[in-house]
Amino acid sequence: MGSRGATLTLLFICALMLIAGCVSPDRNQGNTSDTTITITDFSGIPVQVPADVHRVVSLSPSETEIFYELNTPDSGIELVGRTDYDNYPAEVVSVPSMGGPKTLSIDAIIRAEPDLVLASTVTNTDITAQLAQLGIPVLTYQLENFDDVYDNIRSVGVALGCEERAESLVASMRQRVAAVSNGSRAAEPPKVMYIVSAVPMYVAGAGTLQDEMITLCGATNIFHDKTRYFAVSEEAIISRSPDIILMPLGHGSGSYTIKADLLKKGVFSEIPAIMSGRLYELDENVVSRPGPRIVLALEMFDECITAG
Amino acid sequence: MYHRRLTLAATAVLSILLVSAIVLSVMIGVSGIDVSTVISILAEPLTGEIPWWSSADAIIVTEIRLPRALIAAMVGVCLTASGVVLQGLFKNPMADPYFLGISNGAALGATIVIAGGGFLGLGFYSLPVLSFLFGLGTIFLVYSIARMGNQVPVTTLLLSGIAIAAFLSAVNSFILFTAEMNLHQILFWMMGGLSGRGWDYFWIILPFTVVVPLILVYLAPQMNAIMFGEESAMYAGVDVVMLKKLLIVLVSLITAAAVAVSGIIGFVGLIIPHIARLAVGPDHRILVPVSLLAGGVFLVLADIAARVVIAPAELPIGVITALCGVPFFLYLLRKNKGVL
Repeated sequence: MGSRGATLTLLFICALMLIAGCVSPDRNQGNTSDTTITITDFSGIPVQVPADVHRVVSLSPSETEIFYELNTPDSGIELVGRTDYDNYPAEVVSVPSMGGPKTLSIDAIIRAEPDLVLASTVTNTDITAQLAQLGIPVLTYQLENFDDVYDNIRSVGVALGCEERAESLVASMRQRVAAVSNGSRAAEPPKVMYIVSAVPMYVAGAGTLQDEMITLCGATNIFHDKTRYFAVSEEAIISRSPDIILMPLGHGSGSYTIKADLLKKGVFSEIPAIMSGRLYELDENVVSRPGPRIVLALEMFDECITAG
Repeated sequence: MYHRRLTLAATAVLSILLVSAIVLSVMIGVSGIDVSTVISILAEPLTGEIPWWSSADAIIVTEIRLPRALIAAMVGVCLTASGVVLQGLFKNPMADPYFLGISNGAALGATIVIAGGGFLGLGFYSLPVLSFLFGLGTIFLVYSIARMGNQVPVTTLLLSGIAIAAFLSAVNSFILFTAEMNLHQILFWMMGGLSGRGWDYFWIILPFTVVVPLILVYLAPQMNAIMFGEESAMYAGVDVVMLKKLLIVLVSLITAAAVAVSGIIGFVGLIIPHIARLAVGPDHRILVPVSLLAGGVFLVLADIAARVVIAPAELPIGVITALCGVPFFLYLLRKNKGVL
């Protein structure tokens, strides 16, 4: 009901603007607050974004990283809101938080007076729908693979008026990806498992960023036959005998780590990766965040896979 | 209606079925180890055969499948025993093991461990121990609230059970929400499952499963007396108040133990006793042994399904118990024209 209402409202606004003849796919040169550009996010619905954005709220750590990568100090655009999880780059911690992923405050977001909100598909859709209904432009991005990240960067580049910076960022990312995927290869591709959580045991299947990264490194994801992240059986891990196990390493939240849990499990003692000690913990903020640093994650994957 | 010989025969048949189900469960799995290898691995302690199989296969059979099948059987026995006793005790067909809020208490215990890390340096045992204690604590809280002098009116017991359960689940949601924690772990736990449960869990539940069902079978004639009315039971020389207390303590212990090792597996404890009642009638002397063995068989089979249906991924077993148990139960209900 809410999103249909929002859709109808948007369609109505679009129709009015078409009649008024002020819709243009390109950035308007007038630089007044009532000119807008149309950007289509992952949902396929065109969103009217002010041509001169000043105040941006990001509701996703990856969008925050993209924002800082693209924005320049003299652009007149500032980030006025983030979530509790946004922690990179370091300067972002001085930006007020709008809450955690499950406890976003619509009040806080509105009080921040954003003229653009950036979100991803994991952001609470109740909040983004309500913002859209209130006339605040929200761009929501789906980030499932490298191409999605490139598209996301370009799209934010258009919204912030820095297309060239976005293009050159994407070009340099592509270059780093090519460097990894053209690297030297073992004759027999190593069998790799990416484990997201140890209790319950969740692993990455096809259609995840980690699966794409494993493949780019010339290795085989042992769970490529299943899609997304899923709860796997111990038996399947043992019988598919991974040579290398990669896992995210969280920050804080006690002493709990996936690696310790895996090593504690007696039933895993005969797995090649456990016997050879090829378990690698990688900064979760880098390896599970589909932002500009995803190429760094890829290089980290490559280093682990080609080591030894 | 009650025949001692029929009871013995039914018990024997179901025991054989249970053992067969456990054997089947050890044979089947995603890694496709063939049957002869499995048998050789299992028989190795007896035959002393020099292992010609891979050590991974041996681990899968003896450290993963075997304890898991045994735990599934024991959890099935505990939950069904608990359900059959509570349904008889409260003369209420809706009664199941989680009737008095035990699952909400246990879930809160589990959430505290998952949110806060370990507990009292118990390490691995934190989760089962705390959920066991919270489950039992909940029952005793509910019971002591409902108790009036020497009486425990059923209505008061049910209502205080519902109230405490609602309160505990609100506390649980509060922690889950504010701790911004990984919800997967607790959601999985609450859906119930035997994934990753090895011998350490086996030893937790074993004593309860060995002792309590035997006592329940022994108490079955007295449970019948309660069914025929508490007054006539009293005249028949049954200490009804004492018996009720004892039964509540026993089922709380086995339910809490089952929940501690497997999370909250629904429908088994509700439906299997009814199916058994449809099959063998309401006499507890045959109903108790039949339903608890049937519960064991059902849960072992459900766990096989949970492991293989979407392999190499696993389903929470509660999904299977409801998906398979409910239609079968409804079929029986229709066939018997709603007479339970």
